[in-house]
Amino acid sequence: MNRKKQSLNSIFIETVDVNKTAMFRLAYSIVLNKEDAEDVVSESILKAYSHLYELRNTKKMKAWLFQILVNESKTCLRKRKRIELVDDFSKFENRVSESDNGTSSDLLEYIYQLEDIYKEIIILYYFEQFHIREIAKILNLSEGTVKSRLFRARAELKKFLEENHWKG
Amino acid sequence: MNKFDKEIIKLAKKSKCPVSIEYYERIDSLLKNLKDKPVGVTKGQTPFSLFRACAAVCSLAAIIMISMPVCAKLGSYVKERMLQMSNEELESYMEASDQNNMTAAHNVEALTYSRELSEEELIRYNDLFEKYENEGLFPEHDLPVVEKIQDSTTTEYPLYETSSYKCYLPERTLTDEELLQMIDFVHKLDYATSQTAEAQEILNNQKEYEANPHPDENDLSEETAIAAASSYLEKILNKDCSSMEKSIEFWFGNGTSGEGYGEYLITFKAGDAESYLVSISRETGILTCVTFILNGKNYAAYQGTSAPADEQLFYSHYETAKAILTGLLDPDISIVESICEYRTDDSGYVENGYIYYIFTLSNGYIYSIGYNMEDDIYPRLYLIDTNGSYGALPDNIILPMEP
Repeated sequence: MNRKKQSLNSIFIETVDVNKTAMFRLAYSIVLNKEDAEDVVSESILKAYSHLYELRNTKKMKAWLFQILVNESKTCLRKRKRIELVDDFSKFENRVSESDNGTSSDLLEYIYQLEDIYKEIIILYYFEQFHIREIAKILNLSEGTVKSRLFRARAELKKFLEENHWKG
Repeated sequence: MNKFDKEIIKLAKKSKCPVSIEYYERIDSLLKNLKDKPVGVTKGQTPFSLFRACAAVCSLAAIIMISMPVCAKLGSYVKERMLQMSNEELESYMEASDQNNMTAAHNVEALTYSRELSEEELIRYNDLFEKYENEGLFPEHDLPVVEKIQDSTTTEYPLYETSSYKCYLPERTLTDEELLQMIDFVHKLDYATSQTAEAQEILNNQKEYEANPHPDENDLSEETAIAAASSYLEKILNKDCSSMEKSIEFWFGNGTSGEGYGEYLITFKAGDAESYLVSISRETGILTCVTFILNGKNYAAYQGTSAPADEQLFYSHYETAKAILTGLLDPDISIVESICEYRTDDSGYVENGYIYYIFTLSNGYIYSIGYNMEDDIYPRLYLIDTNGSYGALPDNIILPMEP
């Protein structure tokens, strides 16, 4: 029998550790500000941790964590009451990661400029590879809404990639 | 997923998100701090009790007893009051309920208290709760809500802190008005939660089912479920339910992780102070929960008095707990692993006087049986997992038992 001996605590810490870049990417896509995105991720981790025992199924921990992250990001936006301009990535100090492929880096920057309803879904679907059902839960939408938004988001992406000479 | 999607995923994998070193350092430092903290404790919160943890994992009874009557069966007084809430008010309760955190426990767990209610307060609370629902006895004012308890200038009256989902109570005895405010708050919170898209979907499914129940031919019928529940109660508590008032409901929402798509909730009532609740999966016939109200104590929620930790006592009661469970099992299913789990408080006493025997079965199911030291009974039996997965709670004391 494959019984998990790992404690809830260590599963949580490992899940956050593995997903910390992804968490920043998603938070940033919503708040569009580096400092706020970092704060949101920290707050989400603390909030998730303080409610950890309410999570019924550790297999859903990542989705649960991302749902808290989306909610915290939106709370941050509401508190700020205004959306600041997108940070210029080039301003980031001590960059540790550089894209080795111009298209993929451009892709992320392009995604950040899409409407909120598209970029969240694109990141969750293509980058984090959540299922439609999980995305629906994370974003508190119906599966039908997720599918239709994904359909439109896909069309936007296709347009962008064709303009950038992507050969499908 | 088509070719285009696959190509985007490839691009996404290659994409590097520009993240600063400071960010990684900050998160690493945060995680390092969390490693040393008990789960559930951040920002000065008190640790979760063992029951809270167990209830959160398998809070079916709590969902049944508290959430369902509010969500699904609002009385006319309460319904009218809930409908009178403005959208703004409703929204504020939705925020207070943390309704998006993918748990099913918040209906009950959202209102944890800074101290336990005294026995006298609890009696009045229950009395007022009934009057609230059946006679329309409402508070004059709302329960005050603050984001952080530090934001309040006084702790002389009950306050709900949204950041911790906790109700802070003054040490003095609560007045009827204050108890009513808390009761009102729970109802509004629960109602607001029920208005979310996810909850609505479950409730709609429930309504759809009730309008046109068409279980699969292999599913348990109501009659069989009641008979099975009676039999379980007789085996577990040696209770003859034949003369008790019986009621059965079907709850479409999946109360226990992984166990079927809905459960029958069978209640046996012997009087106001005594009733038993058994839930059984309609799809598989598996027992998922047994709990009860006895002498007016609702053991699904009642937290007992802390008691000295006595390992010998725990070993001796293990045999009884084991006998309870084995009495329910098919002959081809055996216990492959078992532990006794409890948490101690600062004095080394067993927190709330509850210890839990956790049994892993040969079919991967895991049952928990809670023993109440104060009253020397076993009032909580839950199916907590169907995949052999159970992570013992950090900081809890684990005693391995002979299966």
